[in-house]
Amino acid sequence: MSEIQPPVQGPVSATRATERARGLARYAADLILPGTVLVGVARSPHAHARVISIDTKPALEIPGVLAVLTPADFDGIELGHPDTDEPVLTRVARYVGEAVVAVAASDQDSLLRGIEALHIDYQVLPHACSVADALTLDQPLHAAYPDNVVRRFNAKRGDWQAAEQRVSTWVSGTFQTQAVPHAYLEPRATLVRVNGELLELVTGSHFPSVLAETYREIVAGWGAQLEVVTPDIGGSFGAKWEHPTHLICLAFAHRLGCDVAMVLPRRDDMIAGRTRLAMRIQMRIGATDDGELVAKETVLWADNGAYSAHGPAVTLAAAIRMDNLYRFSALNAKAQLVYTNNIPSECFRGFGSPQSAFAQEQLIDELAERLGIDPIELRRRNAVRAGDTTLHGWQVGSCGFTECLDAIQQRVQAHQHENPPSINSRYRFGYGVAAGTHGISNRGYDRRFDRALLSLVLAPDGMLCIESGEVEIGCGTVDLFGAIVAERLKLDRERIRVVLGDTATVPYGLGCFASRTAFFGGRAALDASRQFARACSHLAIEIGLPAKASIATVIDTAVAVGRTTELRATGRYEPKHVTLPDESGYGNTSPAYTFGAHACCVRIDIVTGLTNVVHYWAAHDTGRVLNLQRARGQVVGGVHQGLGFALAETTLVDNHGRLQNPGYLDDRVATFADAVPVECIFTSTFEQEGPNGAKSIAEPPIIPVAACVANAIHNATGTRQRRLPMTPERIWRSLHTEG
Amino acid sequence: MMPTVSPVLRPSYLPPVELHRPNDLGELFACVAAGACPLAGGTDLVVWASQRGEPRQLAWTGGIDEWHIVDISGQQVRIGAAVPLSRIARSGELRSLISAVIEGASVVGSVQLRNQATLVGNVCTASPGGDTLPGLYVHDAMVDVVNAAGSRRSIKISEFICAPGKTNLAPGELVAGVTVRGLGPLEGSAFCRFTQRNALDLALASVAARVRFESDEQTVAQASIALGAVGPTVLDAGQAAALLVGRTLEPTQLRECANLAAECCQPITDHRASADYRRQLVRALTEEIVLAAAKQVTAGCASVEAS
Repeated sequence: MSEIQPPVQGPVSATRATERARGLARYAADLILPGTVLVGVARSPHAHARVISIDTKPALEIPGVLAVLTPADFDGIELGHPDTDEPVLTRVARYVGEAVVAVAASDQDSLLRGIEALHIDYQVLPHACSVADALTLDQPLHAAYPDNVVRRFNAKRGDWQAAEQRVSTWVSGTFQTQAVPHAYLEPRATLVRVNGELLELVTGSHFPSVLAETYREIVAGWGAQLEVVTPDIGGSFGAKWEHPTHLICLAFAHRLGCDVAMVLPRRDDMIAGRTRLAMRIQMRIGATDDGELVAKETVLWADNGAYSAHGPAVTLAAAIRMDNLYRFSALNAKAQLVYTNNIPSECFRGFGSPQSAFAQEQLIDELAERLGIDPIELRRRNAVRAGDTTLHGWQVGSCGFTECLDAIQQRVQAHQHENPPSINSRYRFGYGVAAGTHGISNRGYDRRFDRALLSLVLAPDGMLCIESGEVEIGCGTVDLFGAIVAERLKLDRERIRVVLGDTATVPYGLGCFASRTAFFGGRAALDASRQFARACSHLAIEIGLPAKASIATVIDTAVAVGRTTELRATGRYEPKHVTLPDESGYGNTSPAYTFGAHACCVRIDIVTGLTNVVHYWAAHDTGRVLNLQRARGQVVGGVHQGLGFALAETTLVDNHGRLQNPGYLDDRVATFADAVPVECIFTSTFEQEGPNGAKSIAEPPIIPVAACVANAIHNATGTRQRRLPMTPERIWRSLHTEG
Repeated sequence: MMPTVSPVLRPSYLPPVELHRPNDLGELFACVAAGACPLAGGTDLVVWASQRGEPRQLAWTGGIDEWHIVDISGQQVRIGAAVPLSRIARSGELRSLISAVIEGASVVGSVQLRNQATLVGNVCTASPGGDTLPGLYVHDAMVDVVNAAGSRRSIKISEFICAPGKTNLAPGELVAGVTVRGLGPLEGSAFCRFTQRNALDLALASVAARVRFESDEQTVAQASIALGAVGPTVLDAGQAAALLVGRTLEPTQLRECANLAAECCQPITDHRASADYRRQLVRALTEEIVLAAAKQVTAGCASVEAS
């Protein structure tokens, strides 16, 4: 069981990771040359206010201040995905920290003086910093949405009445999850280089091709052209898409005709950044006496913040995706996405599932307890299996969910055997389990298509260039594409150069999101390799080599005789059997699905409420593992990011909508000193549709974590945690009110 | 009318800073007289400068040779103003002599911060949650102050620090070092704090205790307890400590002492924790840390017997 298939190149050393560790990677901020014009913004101190007047004159009088932009310079331009609702500079501030006026200056000191010299008058409007307040606020935040509800979703599947009648036991609860910033290492950094009418936007991004497409339309109105270059990126986790800072910098660069840059200080990056959607989830699950999960009802409210970004898609995913883990007979989900005066939300690793898993997987645990069935056994009995079509329309190909459950059960039992419960007045030990599932890409994301392109181009010097709009966002994409092509073409990895995300060069790509890049890009890499090999055998015959000459030999000869330009191929992958989901999310949205089950052992200090995760097990069905080191890295990283979400991280907003913890001192992201031992287990699944049998591992590891820890805390102390984060003080309080 | 750009929203860039590197006290005082702010480790100062846009003139204290001295004479320890925390944290001799101070010095921030930050910097920052402060209080620290004229005065730490972020340092004065009274025979001290993260965090509450036993090694002859992060300054929980004197450290005595410590502190409720919870932490930490201080004596004796 859980034998690991040999990865593509043995345990591939992560060359990009090594570069990063040695400080060789160049991020956007490293590419700013001395003399580059610096950009900053004046931010609204109010959560909701109309800008009455702006006086830029005192700023422009400061030596060193070169130009100022106001909302009028961006009339008619709004950003968002798919709803466009976010202005570049705003006439109505909808959260504290929103950019109102932008200043460009020759140096940082003048820039700060310029920002401080601006006169901006506001008319303060009533604000709402919670969903409950926004629903009763007599003041729409956006004129088109009088009740502040951005979107309502309803998903009813199966015969609810018939299912309801079969239920003998219901469990229910209301759960509250929090907004957290993405906590990437590299704050938002934007550099725009000017080359005549061409504006070159240098910034880390999930989707350079789409970014270029969106911005080209805008800069075309200024008579300019645009390309996007993505240098190394210091993490994103779902945060770095379109952003007002890009257009502010583009506009200044165009107007001034020189390079401009803006690197957000960490605090600015947090107050005007993006967060995971906070959610309130009412859920009930019904089962028969013999432990068949029959019906599940979800009512969910999501906090969109001031602007939409990917809020609608995340809300729908949170409402239904986790349902696909079990063979329910009927489902009923309702979700509302609500505008508030909080920091705009954005998709974040897990895309809504960590939130809904926190509710669902705790209720499954409660059911197990009520029915007297082992929680792992209850999950196994109801687990989705290969060949199933779920109520939401997922056609499940390979499925190693039960194998994951078996694996963690074995590990937990062994741990319990080795560590018999100790009687201690202060510390309580407990075990918890939780599961999760995730798609690979999302056919509903871009309604036009879901595909990947990857080109292999032989350079005159004999280097084989991989070019793709599918980008490296820190997941190991460069190494993976290189390894796949090297293996297929039997070439040394040193002969391959990987160029991703430079829109002047690479074919169009939807980008890195929804755990799709290894799968889609990997398949395109295989297709490109096949075509390239064919091109090689054609050329071999023409230049007098044996038809079966090695690719390396053909390449060497092509270089020698000057025929390198004939060796190129573009591979493509577009899954056949996926379907565009309907408004309720029904459809086979992915070519394959991943599954996972986690377990942990916790130690709770009942005197202080402090939770210590003693051991963590994470079993994942990710298809065949292509790069063991990277796969483990994703799992260990995802678990720790999940532990931060579960136990510590949060955004604290005061009554005026001001962020109280704009830094990592009080947004307690785990440090190395907080690392817990994570045991990674990969199932033996082989996915026919995937590249070399692989699925994906980027997002799945964060999904079950908060639920897993909450179940362990209950097991240790008998108290149920319905609210995140589960801080020591909250746990201490629950122990002293419930017990 | 609200200010147009609220101070909290000022972008936090480090302003252009002029750094002076004086080589002796005379040069340092000249820099300070010319408006420079003394810079020791800079771990707080640089953050402030980024947030406030000032100071823009800094005078580094690391060039003053005598401020690098750690002097141990008998029970007295003097630590110069330029000595970084990591240097005292790795000294075994100091660890047994001024345990509570060293345990605090060992948990400030992170490894990188401790390599840079100084003990005197921690004192001058005067944060009620400063990790080295409770230890300095129970070790009767005296703050050594000098002025440009060369005159010196020594101030008790509890008088030197007067409010959050405020000290009684007069204009034109600098702190040259700190002198502490180390442990004598039959004496132990310890420090402990509660944080939600294992590094780079601030204490929600912290406690230092110092205990001296009678020659029976069971009856408490003298005790002091200092509480951090639960009042405007570090608090001397003298009443709680007095409960232990003349008694042995039975669980009921400890609980009584811890309860009194929790009662006499003055915690606030803020975004980090509620006052209630901080009191609870003081209760838990006090019990733990009085025992740890006592254990230093008994464990120390055990090792003497063994040798």
